[in-house]
Amino acid sequence: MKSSSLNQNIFTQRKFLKEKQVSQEKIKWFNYWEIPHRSWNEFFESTEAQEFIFVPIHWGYHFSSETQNYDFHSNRDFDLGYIEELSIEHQRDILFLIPMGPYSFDSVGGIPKHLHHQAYDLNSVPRVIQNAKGELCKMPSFYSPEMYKEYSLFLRELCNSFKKRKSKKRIKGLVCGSLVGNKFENFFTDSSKTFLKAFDRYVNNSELRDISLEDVEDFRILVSDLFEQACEKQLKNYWDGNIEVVFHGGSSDDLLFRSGFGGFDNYYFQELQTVVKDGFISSTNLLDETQKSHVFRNAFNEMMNFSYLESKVYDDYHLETNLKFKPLILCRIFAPKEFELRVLGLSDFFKANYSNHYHIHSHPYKYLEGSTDQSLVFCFARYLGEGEFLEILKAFSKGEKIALDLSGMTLTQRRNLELFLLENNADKELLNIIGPVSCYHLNGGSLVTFESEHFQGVEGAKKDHFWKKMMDFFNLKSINLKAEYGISSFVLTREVSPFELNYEEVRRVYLYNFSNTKKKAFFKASKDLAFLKFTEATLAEVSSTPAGVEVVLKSEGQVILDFGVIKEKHEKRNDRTL
Amino acid sequence: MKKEMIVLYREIPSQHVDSNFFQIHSVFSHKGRVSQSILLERFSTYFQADKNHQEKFIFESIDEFKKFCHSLGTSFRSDAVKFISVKNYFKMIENSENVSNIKDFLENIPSHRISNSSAEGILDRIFSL
Repeated sequence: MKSSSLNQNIFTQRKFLKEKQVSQEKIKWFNYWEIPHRSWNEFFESTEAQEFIFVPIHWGYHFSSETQNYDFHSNRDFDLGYIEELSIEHQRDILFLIPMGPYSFDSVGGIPKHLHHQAYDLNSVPRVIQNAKGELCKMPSFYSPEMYKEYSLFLRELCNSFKKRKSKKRIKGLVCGSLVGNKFENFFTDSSKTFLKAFDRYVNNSELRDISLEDVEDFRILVSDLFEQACEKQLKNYWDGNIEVVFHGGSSDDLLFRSGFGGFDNYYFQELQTVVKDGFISSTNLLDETQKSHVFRNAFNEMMNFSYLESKVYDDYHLETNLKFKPLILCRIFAPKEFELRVLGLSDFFKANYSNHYHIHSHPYKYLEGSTDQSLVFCFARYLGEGEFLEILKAFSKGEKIALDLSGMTLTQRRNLELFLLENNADKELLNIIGPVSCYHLNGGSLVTFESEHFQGVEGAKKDHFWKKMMDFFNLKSINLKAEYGISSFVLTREVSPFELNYEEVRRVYLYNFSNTKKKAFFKASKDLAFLKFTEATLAEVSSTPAGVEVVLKSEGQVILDFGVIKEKHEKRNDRTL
Repeated sequence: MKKEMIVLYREIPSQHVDSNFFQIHSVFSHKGRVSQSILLERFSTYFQADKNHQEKFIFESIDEFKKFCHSLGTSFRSDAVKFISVKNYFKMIENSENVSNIKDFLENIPSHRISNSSAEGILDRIFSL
């Protein structure tokens, strides 16, 4: 006898496949609960080898309100083992995913209906999003005690079903979210009454006094970790860690644009730039085809290509080991208190000059052994522990570029730094821009120290000048691109091939015109960069002049341009350089 | 396509009994979301940094908010503006089962034309208490 689930919605007609989106995306979401098992084979036939098939396991679908238990095998519509069999038959790799928070695939966020309490985002706006089918998905809060208990039970039953059929597949956690103010916000994040009650219980149990925002954040992390620990405990060897996916159109207020106007939201280009810079996976699963412009689809498919996705899905895959393009990150900023970057004028400077080419980390510093990352490291000495301070010195001696704020540094660290520089005969230069600035060279590495306390009361223009001088010292070579509003750009980098030894790296610039009119972009000539070629020009004109490279894009036009970053000691070839 | 702008805002109680602060939560033109960086870039004179140097898009008076919305609409060549408070957005969501409910709600929100001569009068009526 077939069990019923509160969330069952099996279509008896084949309508769903006729309306299958024509998409070139490399991720195919297999929402098996929407398709009768008879048609699962047809789904696999429609897939290609170089695609990822994500199978989000629907918690609510497998819950039976009659038996109050989980059904993974009463009939084929619930049978995840059958999905595995089909994947083997069609020689496709599938990825089973479990919810690490609400799903955006159905009206109650993918959970059993009886557990639903409405979640709110951090701005106290109800977290409701519209999916591609035009349904309203009311995201649930994960902070009720019943939610955790039931989740653990679901995981246990799921693991038992995998063990019973001796599944060879592992399971990853799917963390769904959106970009809010250029930062990833997990749909798990909540500020509803359910959350407040849970926090209240936590405060009482912990006997906390003088509650601060940090306590709230600690509580959020604690609960999120609890769910992850439940996965490790219940899924055992099947558990394979999390992946985070940004869903375009998934912010709480996106509903206003999508319901009020429909059509394509140009802002998705900016989101895609942030996704690429911060190394996320993103999906247009929430958008129907009318909400994706042709040029955005091209940009999305270029950025979310198979290699890139492979590097994100599989932890042991290294994008750097071949000649594939990867995001260009020129600076890694380690700032436990982000507002201090604003005081220094650093965030404004980077936004204006190196937009999309820097990362901000909230921890003091982390050295990556064996990393080929040649980006500039910026950190505050006052937050460095002894171990982290030694790692900074190690990184400098191994050829890295470091900018270090000495304000608030302990005396011991200052002495150790002086001793280190003396012992290693580091070359020294002294500057006086804003306060004393010392520049050191050692084994190809560069270290600049300064004192941020001298920035108090300094005007913005002087701070800007300071950072320009710094970047000149470190010789950060950026592409000088001026593009009219309406053009979106992406810049990636790769190692050089044996035939490109004149260059340190090759940078690829993708330009897309998402506006309705013709737009121009201009790459100013530079002694550091050589224009190599342009390709994939559609509705585009490219012309190279002594002053630089001019690009004219008609509406929906696009083009790809390659530049070589010239090695410092190499003499430039005038006919090839900008 | 209608060239409208939607402004989602929040009223913040202030110490002054007879007026509240107004904070912009988000802005959508007919082309899509108007990001915070664009707002800061094009309208920097309107926004003062608070002590932690974070722009929060807060207007301390209705007049400032009215003036800004007028400039915003003109800048994006919108013909009209719809204003939705976060409080009303919450009610809209609570009372909606599907997207067509949301669309109906949005249709019923008054659309206020942006034009040089009559903008002030229109915005006065929007915010009359």
